Amino acid sequence: MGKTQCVVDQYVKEVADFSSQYGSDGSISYVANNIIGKPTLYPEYGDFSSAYCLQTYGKWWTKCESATVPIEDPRPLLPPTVDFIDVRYEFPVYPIRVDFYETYHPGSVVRVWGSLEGQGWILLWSGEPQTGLKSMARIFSPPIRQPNHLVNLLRIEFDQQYQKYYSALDSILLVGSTHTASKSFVNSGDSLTSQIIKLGLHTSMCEENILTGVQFLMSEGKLQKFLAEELIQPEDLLREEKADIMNVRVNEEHSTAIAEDTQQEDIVEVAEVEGTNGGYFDLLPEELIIYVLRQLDIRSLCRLVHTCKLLQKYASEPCLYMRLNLKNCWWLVKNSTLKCLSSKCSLLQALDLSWCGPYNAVDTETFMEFIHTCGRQLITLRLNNCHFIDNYCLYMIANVCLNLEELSMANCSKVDNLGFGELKKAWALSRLDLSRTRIDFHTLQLLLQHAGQLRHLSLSNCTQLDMDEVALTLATFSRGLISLSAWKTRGITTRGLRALACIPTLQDLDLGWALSGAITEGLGELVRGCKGLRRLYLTALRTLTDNDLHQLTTHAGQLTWLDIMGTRNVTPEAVHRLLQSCQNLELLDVGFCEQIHSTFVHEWALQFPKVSIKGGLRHQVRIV
Amino acid sequence: MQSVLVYGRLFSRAVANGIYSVSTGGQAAAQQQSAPSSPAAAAASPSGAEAEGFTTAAVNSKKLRFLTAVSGFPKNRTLEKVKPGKFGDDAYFVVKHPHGDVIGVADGVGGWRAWGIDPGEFSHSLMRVSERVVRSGQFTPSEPAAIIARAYYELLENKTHILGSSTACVVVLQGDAGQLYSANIGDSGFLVVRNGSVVHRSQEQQHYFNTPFQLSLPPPGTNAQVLSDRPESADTLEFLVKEGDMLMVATDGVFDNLPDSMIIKEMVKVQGSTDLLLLQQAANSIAQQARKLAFDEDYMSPFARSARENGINAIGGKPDDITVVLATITV
Repeated sequence: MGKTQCVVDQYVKEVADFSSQYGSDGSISYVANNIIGKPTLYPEYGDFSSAYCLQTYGKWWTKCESATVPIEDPRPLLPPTVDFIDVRYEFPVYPIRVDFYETYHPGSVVRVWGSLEGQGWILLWSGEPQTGLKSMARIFSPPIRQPNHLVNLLRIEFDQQYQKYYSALDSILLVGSTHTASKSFVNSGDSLTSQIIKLGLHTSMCEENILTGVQFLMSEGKLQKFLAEELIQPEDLLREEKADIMNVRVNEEHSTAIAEDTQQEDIVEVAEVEGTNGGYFDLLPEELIIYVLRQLDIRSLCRLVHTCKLLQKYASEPCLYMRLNLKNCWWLVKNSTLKCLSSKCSLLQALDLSWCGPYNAVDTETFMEFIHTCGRQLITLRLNNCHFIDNYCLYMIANVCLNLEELSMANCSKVDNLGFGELKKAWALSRLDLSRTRIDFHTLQLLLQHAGQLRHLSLSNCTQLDMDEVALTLATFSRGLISLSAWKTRGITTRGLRALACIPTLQDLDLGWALSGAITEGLGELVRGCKGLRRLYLTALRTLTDNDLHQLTTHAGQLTWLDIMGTRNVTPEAVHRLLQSCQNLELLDVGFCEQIHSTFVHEWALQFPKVSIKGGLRHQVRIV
Repeated sequence: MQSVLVYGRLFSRAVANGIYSVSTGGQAAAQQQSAPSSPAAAAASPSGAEAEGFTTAAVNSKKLRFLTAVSGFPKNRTLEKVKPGKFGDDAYFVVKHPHGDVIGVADGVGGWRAWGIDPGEFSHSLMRVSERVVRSGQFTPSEPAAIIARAYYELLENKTHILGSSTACVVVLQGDAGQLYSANIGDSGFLVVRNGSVVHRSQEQQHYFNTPFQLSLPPPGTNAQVLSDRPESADTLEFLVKEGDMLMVATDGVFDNLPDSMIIKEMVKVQGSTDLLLLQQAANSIAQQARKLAFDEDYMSPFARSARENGINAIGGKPDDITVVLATITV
């Protein structure tokens, strides 16, 4: 007969994608790949290199100059998150339980999605970030739904904005069964929406089926009652959508995709209310209708198009599609989504497609077509973790979006110098994020020569660049630069710092894990040259001495965020003097500094209550 | 520090170009099979060997593997508790991986103590990172020097500023081909015994007497004064081994106090045996004899002999941390 049902425990087999990690590419310290396999650290608690450590914590990365402002989304379907990781397991199972082994600052996991190879995402669990947890390693087992779908790929979303310091995970266990659990029977006490879903009416294409289903429901005596309560107005539709989210978690392929609605044009008649042509809407002035529609989220807006002709006209107004944040509904974005939106987005100015379209949900041609049709007015374009972006897309972007001011392409690994070279046409570029891409120095030099308006540049994790030369190029061509991120790039020396000192507008400089060699002279010139420097990250600068801190104390009085983690030579007295002189300091990270013990940190926390001081932890049991 | 980071950049470029490849197949199997570092001074690795025996038997009955036993003593027994993976300033690791069985030892250079740096920190970290590198499958069995190099550069990625220096010796057995690959920097080493005589051994690398080659992470700015050898300067050897050969990887605490004859005598007693208890007893015995003679002030140890050759009038053993990893090569 059939195989016996069994319950399988699996640990992560591979990491398919992630938005950020603390460690460098190719390393085994603090990287996403550490989540593979059985837990090695649990139940130990601490900041260990064999865990997966997130790159940011708290709100510090959102307040500084280099932070990108998220595109407004009046009513996101789910609260926006900060990071994600995709983990793949060997055998597809029907999930029963997911265990997170959190070994440092638990509570960042907020969402668990499951899918079979990226085709159709099911929300297994969604929750709030948890604060105030004890400083102990824990196994976090959120109450996940147990869907009737095989799952072998999990996407975990993190929101670490309420964490005091870095969060780390050791491993993720997926408990699932090889055979599905028995279906729950239709409960007659359920709401109308859930009954329709259970009967499968919402997927029917044929009017007759819908009519039969409706008659069936009416015969129960309920439909009359429900119809009387429901008024088809945007605010109520909104409530219904919210109710949808609460009740209907099953994200079957066609039920919630924005674009599938395009195929259901024939169901327009079903929901029409008797009386005037557009309900009572046609009595309202145009501007008021647009104002009301502006309050809706993108999914509801697209669905409104299929309610009646009047709303179809108003919901397709391009002025409602000027700023799209599709990152907040990344799981709904498919090729059909872009095709459906392209007719409405002629005035599109800001588009956030980050995290969308993984595992071939969106392909290159569709995106290029979309940009070709709608990209002329684009000012802001965010494409972080969009793996469908290749050189041709960049060619299209560079030639169509002539007014582009902001471009984010973090983790776009398919693009190489041919594509990046196209960006020299983007003369208005003011903000550029090329973290973890494969750009090389000559192409970057070319871009910098042409982008005279550049204000914010991020080159984190681009280890192939010689950052000293980049600094010299910036000093020559980008005199108005406000923020630069060179996190984990390796290779900035005192020469590079001297070059950066020639950019007086610099306010935000992230040089964590990038510096080497003695930098005292360079640092001195930097703080004297960049009077407005407010954020300075000198993480893991092993050559940092008290003299360097003295430079900061004397010349960088307006410093607000400072990170000097991981140095042996810095004495408590020097840090104390720094705290006294930098009155605006809000964040100071002195973690892993041999001489800064927890007693000092506690004293300073009392003495300087406005400063959030991280560090001074007791020496951990293990270093590695 | 400068030179190390230049190599670090070259290393990361090499990684980016895919020279080090991650093997994902068999990783789950590897996690279950690999024996953890021994928890006590006298330890064996029975569970790892047994689990491996079942799986390798299915794959290829001729595949050679290690059966290991570890023993040792820290120099100051009273000073610290026994912790897994280290004896005093020495450290070791043993991993049984489908791609190859790996043994490594490292001897921390004691001179750092005078500068307020714990010499065991570097050697212990190096071995733990090597263990993780091997366990994750990111190594080539025929290039043990690459394991050392990878672990060395990986230490730079740690949030803690690790300082110190140590020797290193890594031996990899590629079971399918029956090849043993080794890489050695410094005066730790190994020897292979077959039919009562030494058939292969490592060469001691020294700059001058009592100053071995060493991997080091010196305090920044002191590069000129500190001896720091590159991982690429490791001595590599490769040779075929047969079933029944015995391998001993040890730090200089053993080689400086015990002449070859005494070591061979102990190893021959367990020649051909796959009894882990006997193997453990042999390892314990080697370690104990080394320890006893180390503190014997009138004994003409190999260390004293070579001191005399270098013009130093010395007699007696050399008190030092002792680490012995004894392995039988079997199917």
